[in-house]
Amino acid sequence: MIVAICGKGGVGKTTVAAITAKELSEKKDLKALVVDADPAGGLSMALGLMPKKTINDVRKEIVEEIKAGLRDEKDLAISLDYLLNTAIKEYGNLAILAIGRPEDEGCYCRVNVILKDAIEGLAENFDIALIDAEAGIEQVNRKVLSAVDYMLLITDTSVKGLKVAETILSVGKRMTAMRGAGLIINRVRDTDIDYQTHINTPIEILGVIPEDETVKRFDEEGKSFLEIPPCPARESLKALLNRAGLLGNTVP
Amino acid sequence: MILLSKGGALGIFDDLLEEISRIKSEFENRSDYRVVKNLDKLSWEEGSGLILQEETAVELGDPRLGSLMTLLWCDPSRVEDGNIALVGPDIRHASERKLPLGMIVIAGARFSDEYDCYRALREAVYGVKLKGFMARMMPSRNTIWCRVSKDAISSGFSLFHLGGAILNSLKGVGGVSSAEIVMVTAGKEQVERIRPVVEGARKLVDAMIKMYSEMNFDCETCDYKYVCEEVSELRKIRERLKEKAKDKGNKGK
Repeated sequence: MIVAICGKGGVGKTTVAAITAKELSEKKDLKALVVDADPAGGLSMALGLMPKKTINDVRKEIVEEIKAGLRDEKDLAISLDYLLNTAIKEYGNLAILAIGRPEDEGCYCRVNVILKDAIEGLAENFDIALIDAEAGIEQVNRKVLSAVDYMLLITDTSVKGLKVAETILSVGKRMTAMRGAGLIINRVRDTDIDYQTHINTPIEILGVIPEDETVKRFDEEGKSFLEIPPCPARESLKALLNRAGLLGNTVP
Repeated sequence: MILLSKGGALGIFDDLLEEISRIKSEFENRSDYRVVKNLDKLSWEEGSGLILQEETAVELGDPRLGSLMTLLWCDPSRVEDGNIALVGPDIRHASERKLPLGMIVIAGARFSDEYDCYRALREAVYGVKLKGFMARMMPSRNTIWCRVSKDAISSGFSLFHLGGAILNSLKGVGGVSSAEIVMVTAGKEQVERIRPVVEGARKLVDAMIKMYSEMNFDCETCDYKYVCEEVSELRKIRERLKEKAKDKGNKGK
């Protein structure tokens, strides 16, 4: 199952992805692929696991192979498997891949398609693939996330955050293979409010994550979220992930 | 498997085979050299999948430790058919969790075309998937990187099973009648011993791929002119391709 975490920039998407990765790391019977698809590499940093090589580096290497012109498509496919594996950073049952930031100019459409297929192929080896998507709608629109099964939409309590989540869902329905989606309202100060009736949205609301000093501290001090102890935010997220069937208990 | 029309003996690697014979003689004098021949007893369940570090018992072919692999073909009579040779510790007896890996695979084949032969053999070797074994290869760098799972080791998997699977897969290719493999885990220095063969073969394969993938037959501007000048079999391929191109041109008129 491929799960994409999407939402407006600044709503705490990467933190939710990092804590989700923490929960997955504790499910020892699951193999999880965690893809940091944000070019800024925020998730890798939040997990304290910076891969030595990014997908963008792999892309450059493939371009060099193609430029050299000494290998046919089959050799390139074999090489891509090798190079993707050199870009994986492992942590127990987790494998982490970072997309990185393209710095050089030129058209990489063909390479990108090859890479996308290779990553989707790689994801098939895992019980779950978690993608921390770039903020906003760009990656959904460009079909980067076309193989996604489930979209975990994150918003804060702002109307803007909710509207972006709704737009992403609407585009995602057209551009991806998604079979389900759920909304998480993050950094909620007043958890007594019944958001299910308070918010009018077509997205299924999974629930809320309270604002939490532990999360804030981990963020500010740059600590790895793989070390985060039980805290209200983590417990709430775990319950929501279980409800959505994303921790290996049920299929949404 | 791709069934190709029977052709003649292939000879682009003939000079390298002499070097391989010298290397094999050196290896045979080592106390950690073993050869297994009984392919029938070396079957292992097929399977694929990713093996993570925590499931890994032994990793082979980390480039820092030594990683080289090559695939050659020749006349079937020049192959010690069914030989699976290993120089160095087998994975079950390795004291280290990481080992270097060198591998020379030789197929005795009769094909009408060297490039068809290359493609069919590559498919056979790279397509080997075994339960509890994961291999990643980089043909342009001739590197192979593998992981063997703890479960596979406890079920008795050895490098001879891998060798057996590769040879059996090769023998399933129409046109291939013999095959042998030499594997090296004895240390970086021993793996490096096969480098001249690996690099020599890569030079030839690169030149061959270039010939087949391009339409320009101007030898004077080709980067691989010096390779063709050394290897008569490559010159023959080139002449054949030139003729084919001419024929196509004439038909188009």
